[in-house]
Amino acid sequence: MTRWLAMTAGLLIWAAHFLGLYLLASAADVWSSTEAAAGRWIGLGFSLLCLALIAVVAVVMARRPLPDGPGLWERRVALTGALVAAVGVTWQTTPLAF
Amino acid sequence: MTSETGFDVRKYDRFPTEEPRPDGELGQLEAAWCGPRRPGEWITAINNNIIGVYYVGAAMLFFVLAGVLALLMRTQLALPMTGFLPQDTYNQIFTMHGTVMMFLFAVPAVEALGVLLLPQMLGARDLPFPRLGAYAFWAYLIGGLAFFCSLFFGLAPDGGWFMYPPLTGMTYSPGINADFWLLGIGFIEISAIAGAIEIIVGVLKTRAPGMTLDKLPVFAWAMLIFACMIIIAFPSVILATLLLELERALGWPFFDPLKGGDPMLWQHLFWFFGHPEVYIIFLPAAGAMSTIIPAMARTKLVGHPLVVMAMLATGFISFGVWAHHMFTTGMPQISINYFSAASMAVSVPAGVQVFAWIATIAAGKMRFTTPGLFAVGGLVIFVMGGLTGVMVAMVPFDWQAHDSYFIVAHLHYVLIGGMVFPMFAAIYYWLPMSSVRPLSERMGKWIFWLMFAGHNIAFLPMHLTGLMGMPRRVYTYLPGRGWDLPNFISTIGAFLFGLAVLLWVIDMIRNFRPFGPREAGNIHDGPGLEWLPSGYYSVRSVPVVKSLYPLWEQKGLAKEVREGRWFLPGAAGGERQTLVTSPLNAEPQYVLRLPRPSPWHVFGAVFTAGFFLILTIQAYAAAVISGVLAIYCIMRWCWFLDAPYSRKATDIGAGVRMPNYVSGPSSHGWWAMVIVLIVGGMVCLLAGFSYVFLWSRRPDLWQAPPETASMMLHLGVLALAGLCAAGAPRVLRRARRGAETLATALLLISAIGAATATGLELRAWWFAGLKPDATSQGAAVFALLGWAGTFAGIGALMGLYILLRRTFGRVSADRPSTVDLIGLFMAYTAGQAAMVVLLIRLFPGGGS
Repeated sequence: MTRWLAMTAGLLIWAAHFLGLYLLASAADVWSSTEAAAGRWIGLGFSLLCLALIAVVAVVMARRPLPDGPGLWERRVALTGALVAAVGVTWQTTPLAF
Repeated sequence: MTSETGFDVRKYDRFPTEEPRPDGELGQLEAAWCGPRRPGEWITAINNNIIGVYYVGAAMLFFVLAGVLALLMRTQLALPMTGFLPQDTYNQIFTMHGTVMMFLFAVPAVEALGVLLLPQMLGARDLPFPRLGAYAFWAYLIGGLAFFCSLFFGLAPDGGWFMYPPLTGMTYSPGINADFWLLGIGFIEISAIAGAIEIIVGVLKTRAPGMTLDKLPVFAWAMLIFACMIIIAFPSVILATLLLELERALGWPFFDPLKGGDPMLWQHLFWFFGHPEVYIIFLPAAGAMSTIIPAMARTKLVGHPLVVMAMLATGFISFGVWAHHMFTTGMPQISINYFSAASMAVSVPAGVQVFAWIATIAAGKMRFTTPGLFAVGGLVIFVMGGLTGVMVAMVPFDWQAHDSYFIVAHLHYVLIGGMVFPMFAAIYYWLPMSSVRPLSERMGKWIFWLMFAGHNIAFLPMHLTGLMGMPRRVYTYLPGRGWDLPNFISTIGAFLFGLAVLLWVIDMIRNFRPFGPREAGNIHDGPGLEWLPSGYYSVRSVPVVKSLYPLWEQKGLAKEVREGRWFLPGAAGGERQTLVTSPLNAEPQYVLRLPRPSPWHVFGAVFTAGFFLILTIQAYAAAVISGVLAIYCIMRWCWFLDAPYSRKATDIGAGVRMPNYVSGPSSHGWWAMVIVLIVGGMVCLLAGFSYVFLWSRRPDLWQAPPETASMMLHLGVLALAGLCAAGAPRVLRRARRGAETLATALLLISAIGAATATGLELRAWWFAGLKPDATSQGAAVFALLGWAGTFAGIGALMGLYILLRRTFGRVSADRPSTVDLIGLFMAYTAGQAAMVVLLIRLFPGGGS
């Protein structure tokens, strides 16, 4: 299970990010207004937290002792997944600027 | 390589064996896996080679039937103001076309491909739950045919394949047409989930030794992600159909704004399933493309790890784009922006795959035989659909195009390019595995070009029709709006497509011999294990996989496998067996005894379908009888599982011995139960979301919960139930005197405890004045408790079952799987009920 989690960690954080942003926006809609600055700052903070987590995942995966065949392949998938997740999180945070 | 299970991988070096195989070994294997000999055995068969062919055949039958409906629609729309179809009939036909294509063709077709191909592709004799697979097929076929036949009685659903309330509520759809959809589709989705469980456990646990994740075929990767997505997404539509049926049958107002409900809840639940559904359909097709293109181009797939990562990424992000179907519903602007960004981001992983295919075609020497043509044609069409997908992901454009024919064009480009063409490529590519000879190459090319031209002639003009303002789902239109010519052209294209399908059916009838004495062979020089010589037993012996392209890179493999020089070359004790391996490194763990055909799963499917279908026509007594019979048949089926085994271990070749039985997390049954519980948990989670969502709509209608003391009591009882369930397997494993009786008693106490606590909680709310038909809070609370109660009810049945097994001496310490699995289920049931109690008592707290 640990290896599966390591391989998909970046993508899991990405998934948590877009679901989290939706929940934050919905909560803000109920309790105040989604246009309120506080909601946007919370969203931005959440996005930065997700990016930091993705960076941690990438660093941990990259610093692991060089594994053999399947381990190397899993690391490659994990690192590219983290890269895509970082791009995705950044891209999906841009609506906060508008 | 570090061992995952403690298995010494140096034992692989003992293979291929050199010594001659014993006389009669192959005969014993063939006898154990013999095909049907009497007519009835064709129905009770459970072998994937037979069920897989049935499954693909049934899915293609529904494709043809739904295609005929499309032609009827296009005939009606060919000219303005035609009277070919009355309005009501047209509504039924467009609803059935979408529903049948999405629920009875697309998902089952790819699931069917998985059932047919995966065992051979993974080097397994069969998938781990062949009877469950067969049950899923028969339930799907019977339910699907009955559902389709509703059309002939004017009882077919007519609210669109998305079934939005309030149109589908009792006010505007008073007949039973909508009920057919709700119960029929809910039931068919259960069958899809059963298939998904089979596929997940199959891919993770029955791979050939050495088939580590980097050597796992891309198609198997795609099927694994596809099945996981089904497990996460389909509970949403099951919950949605359940809630709408409860509103229609009992007046529980989930979607009625007058009582605090909200039709938007349906849209959220439906599209949380509905959009991932597109990728659920696309991913296996993409997996097939990533397999077929390298084979036809005679080169390795370019960017293999990136393609796998892209499929994983698609699986994840597909759950973050559901609301892009709801841009026009008045959601908060910031939410719309998030979903717009996420929808555009989907194009990144899809693009990775498309570029990998193009690069593979460029790097190799592509053979444009029929499978190659369909693969490349599908690629072209899918890219066109993807581009319009990015267009409609942009909110201002979507506001213009929404509910117009532009969307019809877009979705058909995506689905036909992303699934139908790859499906035909797969049929032409893999059919020689199941038939004496391949389909006609000459006719195949005609079929491809007719289909490719027909598709573009039919759907390209629809972009224009939509941009000119023609709305979807209209049964006719007025002349003089500029829509006449594009509609007429679209109709011509649709008939060309239909002609292609007709030619394909003729070619199938002419050439296809599904259960012939031999296969056509590896005519495409495919590199995967599925092209090894095989029979009903799949491969003669299970090889150690050392490459992603074993038949290209492990020279002489086919001959060695055929001669039985690898693992499990025989059928010890005349039994059907397959090798279970570990989920990451595919190290051998144990030998799984597979079941033999029996009629119980067929009867079970018939009566389960009967229960749901009879419920539709509100013959409740007959439905209950059918339900009881279904439970009886399923219990009979389970009765023979976990039976005593005379031999502790089997020699799987070269002196390597593997146990015949394991329990706990290493066993395939444990994995299946965990997946079932994830499905249950997803339904409960989404029901919790619905509860909070409904509160957010009308908090003023919500009342305070009952007094806290009763909650503490109910939680205490549930804790006791959970502890008893968790303790039962431990007690059994201690193997002391009376352990079997004590474990059985603990499970019974757990079942009674969970049922009692749930019943008491219901009672507390009822006497607090909350009624399920009065407000959305009542509906949501009683639905959540009803879900927990359903699990408690199933737990009670399991309690009865384990009591019967104990009575007949079928519970023992050396075979703890049944107690393990029932204990796991009951512990979950207690935990789920406790979560439900905590949610409804603590949120929103004292009311507003």
